[in-house]
Amino acid sequence: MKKVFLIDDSAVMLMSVKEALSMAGYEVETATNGEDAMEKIKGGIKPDLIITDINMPKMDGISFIKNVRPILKFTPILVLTTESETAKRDEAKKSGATGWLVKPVSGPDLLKVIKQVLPEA
Amino acid sequence: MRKKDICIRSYILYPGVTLLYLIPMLLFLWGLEKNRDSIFLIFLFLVYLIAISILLFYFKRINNQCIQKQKTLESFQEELYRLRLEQPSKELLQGPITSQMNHALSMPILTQLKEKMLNELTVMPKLLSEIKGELASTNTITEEKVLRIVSALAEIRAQSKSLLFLMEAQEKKTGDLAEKQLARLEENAKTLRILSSYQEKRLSQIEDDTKRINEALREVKNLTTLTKLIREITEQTNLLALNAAVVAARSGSAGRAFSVIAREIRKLSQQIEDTTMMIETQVSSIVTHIENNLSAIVEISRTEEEKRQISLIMNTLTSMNQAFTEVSGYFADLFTESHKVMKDVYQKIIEALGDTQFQDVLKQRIQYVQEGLTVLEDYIFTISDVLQRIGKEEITDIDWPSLKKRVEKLNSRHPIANLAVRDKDFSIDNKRPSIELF
Repeated sequence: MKKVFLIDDSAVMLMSVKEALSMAGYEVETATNGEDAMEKIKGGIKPDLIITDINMPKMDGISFIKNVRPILKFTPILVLTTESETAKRDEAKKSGATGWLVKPVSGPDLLKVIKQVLPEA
Repeated sequence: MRKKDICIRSYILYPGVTLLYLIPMLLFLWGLEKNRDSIFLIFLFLVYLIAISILLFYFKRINNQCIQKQKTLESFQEELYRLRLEQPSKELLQGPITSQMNHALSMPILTQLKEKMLNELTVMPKLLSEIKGELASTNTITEEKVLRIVSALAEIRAQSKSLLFLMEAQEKKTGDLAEKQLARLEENAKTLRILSSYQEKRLSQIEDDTKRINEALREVKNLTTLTKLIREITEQTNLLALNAAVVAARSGSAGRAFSVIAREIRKLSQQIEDTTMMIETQVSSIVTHIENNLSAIVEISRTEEEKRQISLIMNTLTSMNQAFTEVSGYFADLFTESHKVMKDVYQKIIEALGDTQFQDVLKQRIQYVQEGLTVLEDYIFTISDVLQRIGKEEITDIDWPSLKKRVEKLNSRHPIANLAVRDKDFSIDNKRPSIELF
């Protein structure tokens, strides 16, 4: 079972996306901000895919991508955010993000994108 | 700020004018005493006297006008306050009053306006605070409710999953059951074939038995014909023996031996007749027995009953087979359809879970509005502060951060700021996609 690491400061987002992914057969780990996520990564979590928000307390999504990229070089990272600013998108891409998804994204669309970045799943 | 007009009152003006004449005169006298032949000094003093007289003449005229204006203004202010005018009318400000008069007139109105604005502005923070509170409450309630919806969906998902597993397991069991039923149906079909064969065989046997019984009956009945013949022969023999006895009696002693033979023949004839009668009685008894018992076994009514019973069993088994086949079909359809429906439910739950993301977007929009209200609140505090300082201290320049800059700063740190534009742009074909893979 493929493991997805979901990072968002919104309880609703965490719960709804986690449920949708669980239904589709993924194992889901969650964190509420970049700092929390980094601790879990350093603690030994090895996700097959990371989905992160951008605007979060303590450590934002872009900082998290910058910090996690040297550790997980080949893990796909999808950004799921309300942020629509092109500069932020470009920065995320430059930092090593695999894709940029602007909320709200429908469940089937999200699953389709995940299957694209995790084709063997 | 515009400078106020200054009028010099008489009690200051006249002593000043006296000093303007007296001091140069004393200096002139002192100069003459030092240098008695100075024509230049005399000339200078005369020029000074002429110049200062002309200046004082014009100054006096201007000052008189100024004093007159002030007096008019004061009386006008008194009239305004008497009439409790809250703000100057356009006609009043642009009427036949001079520009200085207009400016002077605006000052107390501004003061009044300032007071009124300050009073109004004190209400604003409370109103803004209430609006922010409402928005915060909206966010909290929405989040709480959406979380409950998501929890309910999660519960439905868990239940659906259990049901789906159960159905999949049941589907397997049903498949096994269907296989067993098919085997049973096959056995039933075999039984039916055996029964059918047995029925045919039985009918054939019954026909054979009937034939054999009828044959035996006919043969037994033939015995009756034979006994009749024997009886006729016996009667003839008896008659002959009787005639022989009569002839023997007529013959006397010569016929005595013949008479004995005739008597023995008659006895024998009687015995044959008795035996024949006994045979006839027994044959009759056998015929009756066959007709009453054996024939009854193979009588048509009983054959028909057996045939009917066998047909009934066969029909029942056939109906059972059909019922089993139909039930198996119904079960198969039911499970297939239920499985499909459950998969649809699953898909709908995933869609509904995706739709709950609106709350996160809505939350950020509300937070943006809340922060916008805070900016507005700060701005109102700044304006109130400046208004309060007016009249109490000298303010040379009104310089506070503009609202435009504050809004720009808010937008720069808020991701949701351009959402309204983005929503609008969704209808445009060349919009940036909401999903991009790099």
